Amino acid sequence: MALFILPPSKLKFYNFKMYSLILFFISIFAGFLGALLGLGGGIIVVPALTLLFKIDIRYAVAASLISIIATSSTAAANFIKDQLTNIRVAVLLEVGTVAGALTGYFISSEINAKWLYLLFGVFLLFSSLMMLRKREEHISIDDHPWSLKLRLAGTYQNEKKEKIFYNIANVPFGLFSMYFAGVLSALLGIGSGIFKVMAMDGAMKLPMKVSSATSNFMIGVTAAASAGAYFIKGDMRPELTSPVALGIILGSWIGGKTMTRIETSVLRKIFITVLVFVAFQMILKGMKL
Amino acid sequence: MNGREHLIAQFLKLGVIVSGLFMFIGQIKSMRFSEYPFFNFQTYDQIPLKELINYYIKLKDWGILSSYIGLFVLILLPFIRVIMTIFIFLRNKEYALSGIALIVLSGLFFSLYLGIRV
Repeated sequence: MALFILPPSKLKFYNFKMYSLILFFISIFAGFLGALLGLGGGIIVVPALTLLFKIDIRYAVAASLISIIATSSTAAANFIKDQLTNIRVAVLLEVGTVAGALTGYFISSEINAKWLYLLFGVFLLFSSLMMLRKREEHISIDDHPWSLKLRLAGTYQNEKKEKIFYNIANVPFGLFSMYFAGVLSALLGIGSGIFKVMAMDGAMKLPMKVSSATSNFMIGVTAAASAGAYFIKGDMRPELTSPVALGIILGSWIGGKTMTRIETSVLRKIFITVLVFVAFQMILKGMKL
Repeated sequence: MNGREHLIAQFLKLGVIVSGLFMFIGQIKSMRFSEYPFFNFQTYDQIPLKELINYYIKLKDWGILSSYIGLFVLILLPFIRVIMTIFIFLRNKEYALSGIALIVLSGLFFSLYLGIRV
C-alpha cells in the first residue's frame, strides 16, 4: 500500500480541494461540449488529466470512460424528451460498434498503430473539409428498405420549433461504418463518437442534431463494458473520477438543455473545429510513435 | 414506442441523480478528512477493487466508499438501459429490434469478460 504514503514536502504544493475544483470546472466544460456534439467529453478529459495533472494514462482513461457514461446518460434524458434521439437507429447501430470493438480487441497485437494514427488523422482532416463545404442539411428522399422494415425513420423538432420528418439512407453502410468506428476506438483508444456522428450525418443522412443525440446515446453502451473492467481491476479511483463525473453530469445537463436552442449551423461549426483539433492530435501522436 | 421511450429517459435521469448524490456526498466527506492529492496517481499502481474496498472499510472512510457506490451505479446504467430496450421492443411485438438489442447485450457482457481477464 505504498501509494498512500505521501512525502510531506510535496503536500504544501498540492492541495486536494483546489485541484478537485479545477478538475470539476474543466469537466463541466467537457460535459457541455461532449453532450452537444455526441462525443462524450473524453477528448477534453484525457489531455487535461495527463498534461495538466500529470496523471498516469490508465487512470486518465478510466476517468474518461466514466465521463462518457455520465455524458451519455445525463444528456439522453433531455434528448429523448425532445425527440432528438432515435433509439431504434441507436439499437441497430450498436451491434456494429460492439462487434467492431471486439474485433479491434482481437487484432490489436497485429496492427501497427503509428500508420493508423497518421491515416485517420489525415482522414479526419479531409472529412472536416468535406463537412465545411456542406452548408445545409440534406434529408434523404428515399427510405432505405432496412429502415422501412425496422421503421427507423423519425421526426424531430428544429430550433424554429418546426417538426421535421427524416428518412434514413444507406443503412448497411452506416452499420459498416459503426463496425469500423468500433474497431478504431478499440485500436487507438479514441472515443468513437466522432466517427459515429460523421457516418450518421454524412452517409445515413440523419439531421445533424439527431446524429449527435443518437451518437451520444450509443457511446455510453460501448464505454460501459470497458468501464466495468477498469472498475473491477481497481483503476477507477474515486478521488480522481468523482470530481470528473460530477462536473460532467452538470455540464452535460446544461448541454442537453442547450441542444434544442442552438442553431444547427453553429453546432456544425463547433463539430468541425473539434474535428480538426482531434485530427492534428492524432497525426502528432502517430509521428511520435 | 414513444410513451415507453420516456421510461428510458426517466430511468436514466433517476440513475444519474442517485449516482451523482452518492459521489457528491463522498466528495464532500473525503475533502473534509483526507488530503489525498492527485500525485498518488502519477504513477500506476495496480490494486484490485476488492483490496481497495477492504482497505477503505478498515479505515472507515465512508466518503470514498460512498463515491464507489456512485461510480458503480453510473456504470450499471447503460447495461440496464439495453435490457430495458429489449423488453420495450418485445412488448411492442418488434421482435427483430428486440433480438438486435439482445445481441448487443451479449456482446457487452463478452467484452466486459475479456476486459477483466486481461
